[in-house]
Amino acid sequence: MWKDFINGIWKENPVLVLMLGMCPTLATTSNAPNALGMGLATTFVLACSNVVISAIRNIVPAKIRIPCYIVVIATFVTIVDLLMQAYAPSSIYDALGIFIPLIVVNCIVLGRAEAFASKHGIFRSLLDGLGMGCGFTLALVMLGLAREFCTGGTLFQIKVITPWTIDFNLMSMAPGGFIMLGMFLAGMNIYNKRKAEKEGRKCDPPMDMDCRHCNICTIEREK
Amino acid sequence: MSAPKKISIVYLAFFLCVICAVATAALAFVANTTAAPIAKAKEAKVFNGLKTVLPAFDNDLVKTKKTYKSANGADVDIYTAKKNGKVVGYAAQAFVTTGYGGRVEGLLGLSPEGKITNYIISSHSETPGLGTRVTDRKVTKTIFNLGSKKDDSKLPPNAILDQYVGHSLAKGDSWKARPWALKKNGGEAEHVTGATISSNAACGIAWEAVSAFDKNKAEILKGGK
Repeated sequence: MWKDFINGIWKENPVLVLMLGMCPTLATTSNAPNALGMGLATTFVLACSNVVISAIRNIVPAKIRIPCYIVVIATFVTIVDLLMQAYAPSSIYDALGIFIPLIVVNCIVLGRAEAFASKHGIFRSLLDGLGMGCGFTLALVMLGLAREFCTGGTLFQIKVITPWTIDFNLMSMAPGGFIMLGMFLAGMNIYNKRKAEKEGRKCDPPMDMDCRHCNICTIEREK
Repeated sequence: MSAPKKISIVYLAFFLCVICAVATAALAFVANTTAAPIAKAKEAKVFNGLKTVLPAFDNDLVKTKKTYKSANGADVDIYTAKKNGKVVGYAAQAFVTTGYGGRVEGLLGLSPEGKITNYIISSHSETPGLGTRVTDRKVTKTIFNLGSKKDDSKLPPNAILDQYVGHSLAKGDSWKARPWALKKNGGEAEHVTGATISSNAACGIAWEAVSAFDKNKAEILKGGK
């Protein structure tokens, strides 16, 4: 049981390992409060939709399961949207406004519905949803903190390097998001490789994150 | 999951209908219960903005809202603030669509004579760090002043927005009574280097507001009585 929860946080972290939901990841992590808001909203949707989908998994005909899942997910996203409009601080809603409806098409939510909730019981699905959501939120907040710090030396919009000033706006824009995400992935690969070497295993970085599938360097040579 | 074969298309359609109906019912319920808080939150947002640009007032501002046309034909909402039955100022909500990120909305406090007393940008999507130098009034929070209390009586300064304060379309104003422009375009207003478009938008909003006030002065002043 506990493993279902922990799984999403490190081993199958949606952003850093599964590489799902890149659009909100890059778009909302320009500062930590926004990243936290997005993460929590997604966690809520993930947990609720996982529970409902797991509950109806035995009565949904296989042929139309995807449309059914999408309807469930879209319903919860709309609920989150309405609740945030009503009760969230307006600064958070203003910043996240256009990304909340996009949770519907966030691959993590449908991915977990199809890969986990449609095959497991309600309780385990809830734990999986919460775990994945926490992993997503954690990854987003770490990215947000790093980008925010590089942009202006702030953490959660509070400046921590007071006598000095940084004004590195690249990091608050989309390219900075890609750069920082790349650094995170590189760090994660280094960590996993070191760990594997210590334990005497051979560690290959994930297929789509290393040189094996990319032939840019060899294009010239092949000619 | 039930067996994929032998399920007729009618049943599939029916099932999807049921799912959608349940979802719709749930949504209708939530939309119903949140309708009031959402309206309240939106009103509070407008009201908070108005409160920051106007001096102390005691009338129901939202009811005094009237829409006028500016010199360019754009809609400008004007609110009348009164205290003890006397007009203490007007708030003008104007917008331009020529910002770097499209629509920019501004809220201006006007004195009873039509001079700008306060100017904030209430909604925009300008480039963070560049265009936002024009639009944002923000005090940087640091770990050292975390504990100190915020001074709410005065808006944080913003040189670009503050330069419009005190100007109007009245005779004798040092700014000419034609569409205001940036200095580099032959006007009077300063701009932020690298954020000319945002600066231009801020200038445009100020112009919309004062020109709407000037054009409809008689009516606005009558409404204040």
